[in-house]
Amino acid sequence: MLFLAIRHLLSRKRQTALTLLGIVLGATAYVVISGMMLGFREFLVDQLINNDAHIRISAREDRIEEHSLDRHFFQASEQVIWSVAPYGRKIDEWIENPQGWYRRIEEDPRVEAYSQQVTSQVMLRRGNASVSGKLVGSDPRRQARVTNIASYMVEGRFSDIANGGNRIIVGADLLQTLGAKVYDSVLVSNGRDAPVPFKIVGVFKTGIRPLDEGTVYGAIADAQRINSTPSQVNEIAVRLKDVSLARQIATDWAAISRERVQSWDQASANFLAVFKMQDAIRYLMTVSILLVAGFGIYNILNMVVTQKRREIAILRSMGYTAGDVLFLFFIQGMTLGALGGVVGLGLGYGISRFLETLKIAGPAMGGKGAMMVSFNPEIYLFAFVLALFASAVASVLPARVAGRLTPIDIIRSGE
Amino acid sequence: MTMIQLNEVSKSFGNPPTQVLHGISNEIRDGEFVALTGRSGSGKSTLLYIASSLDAATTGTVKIDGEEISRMNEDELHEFRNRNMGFIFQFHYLLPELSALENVLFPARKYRVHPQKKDEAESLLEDFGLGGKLGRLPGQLSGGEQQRVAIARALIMSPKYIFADEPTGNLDSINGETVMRILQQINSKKGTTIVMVTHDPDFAQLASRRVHLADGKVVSHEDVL
Repeated sequence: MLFLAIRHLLSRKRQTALTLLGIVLGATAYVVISGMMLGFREFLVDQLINNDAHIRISAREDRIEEHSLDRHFFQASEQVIWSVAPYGRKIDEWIENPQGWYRRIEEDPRVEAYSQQVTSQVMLRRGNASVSGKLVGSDPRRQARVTNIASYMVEGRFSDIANGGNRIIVGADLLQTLGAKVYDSVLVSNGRDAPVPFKIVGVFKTGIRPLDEGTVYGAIADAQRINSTPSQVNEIAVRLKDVSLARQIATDWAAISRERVQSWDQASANFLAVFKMQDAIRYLMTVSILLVAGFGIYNILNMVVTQKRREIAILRSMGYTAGDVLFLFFIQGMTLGALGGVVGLGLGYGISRFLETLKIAGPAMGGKGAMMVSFNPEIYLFAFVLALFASAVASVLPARVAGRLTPIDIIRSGE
Repeated sequence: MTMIQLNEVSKSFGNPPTQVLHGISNEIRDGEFVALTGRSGSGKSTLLYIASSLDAATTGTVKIDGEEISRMNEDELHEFRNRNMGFIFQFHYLLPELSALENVLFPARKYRVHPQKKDEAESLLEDFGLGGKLGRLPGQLSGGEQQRVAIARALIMSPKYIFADEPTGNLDSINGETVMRILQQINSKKGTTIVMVTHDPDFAQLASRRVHLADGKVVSHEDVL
């Protein structure tokens, strides 16, 4: 029957080509759109995972509710009704027992490395230019093991912040805003105390604008000094051996501690939620295209079944079964689906390779200046399965109609 | 020896039912050439399709080679049809995408015996004067040639039975005579049982027996030879 199915397809070349085109366009669109969306997403997720900690432990922030303070002022047995209920935010600025955390982290075999940090908002000033930024004080050796910030250095070395006091490394965009160069001095202030001069000893560029224009790295001792809080830390960044365990481990640790413990994906939940919307749009668009292609197959096969009623009658009289006839038309749809899918994947791959070479300026493109396109095999597999599925659904209905035709009904209808 | 046995076969169509055949009993013997004759609407084609298993009787039974066809399951019936029956219709019903040779071999493809049947198919087409047109598509053949290809296709599985419904109905007299001559030869040389529906009294005369139907009943049997 495959023999006859292929002859059928070849005998109506134009219809076959048009139907094929629909499937090809559907598969191509899916591959290209998904490649672009996922390419950008993979880049962003990679940045989130590698440029930041897998898990971040930070000092707790609590909302003060109506009864949050009851136990501080009254006995447990007393019923408290406030005339003006307390409200606000209670901030523990520092991690209460960092040593305890270090022990717990060091004993956990799932942890690759950790880095204690002091982070605070500071103002940087050089001449008339002033910029606010986040000062991250850390031990550069530990920090380099937790994030890959050291690999984004464009000038200087990350470890230079530990060589002597009052040295910082700044993001490339921040450097530009300050109008400074490496080895220039800038004044760093916490807003309460007098500004302290720091020397810029290096520049990094991650491609993520918020980081590049608002982050400053320094030695932990310097950051503690700026905040007048020697030996205290307010964050611990943890890198795991297996990043996929981040959410589970963060949830476990959060349950047994006062601090806020968040995995990278929990911290970026809003950001990641956008991806779900992207997925919905991507699927909807592709399904629409394949629906049109599927209708193409359905219409053509329906027409062919009507045109081929006489041939169906003779096939049945020769001893071919209803299943054979169903297969004859079903396999035509599936052949179109498979062929269209393969050509679509090829075309999609070619277009994706071309897009990868397009120079698109802007920080959103990861600083590489070119479009990020994913070549994840799952995209290609899914596109092919989608093309086959659309073809199967579109061809099964006319094929079933053909399979149900009996020779005598066709002969009797005088066709 | 009786090969096809019709016992009190009746057929009705539609709602309210219109009775087309009324309790027909008949026997077609091995090697017979039977012509079913009668006016339009007499029920001759319906009788042919019931006798050939393409249609089912409303009441009554049809036995072929002693086996009641209504009791065969679908697969048995299809295999029986493929291996034992050949059909020739008024219109050739050739597959337009296939060449003459491929059309002839198509019944053999069902059970993948077409490679073994290729020489026989070529020989049949040669015998029917189509030796130089094996690779032609049906659209490149004349009406008579198309019908001869259809006859070759009906013969390729060396069936015991040929069922022909007005095989000359679409042909001019010369091609009609050619087709009849071929059917006679198949019947006399190979001993194939032929049941043929025809309007044409001259062609009916070439059969060994004529069964005349009127209003769904057999009104006469006539042995010609």
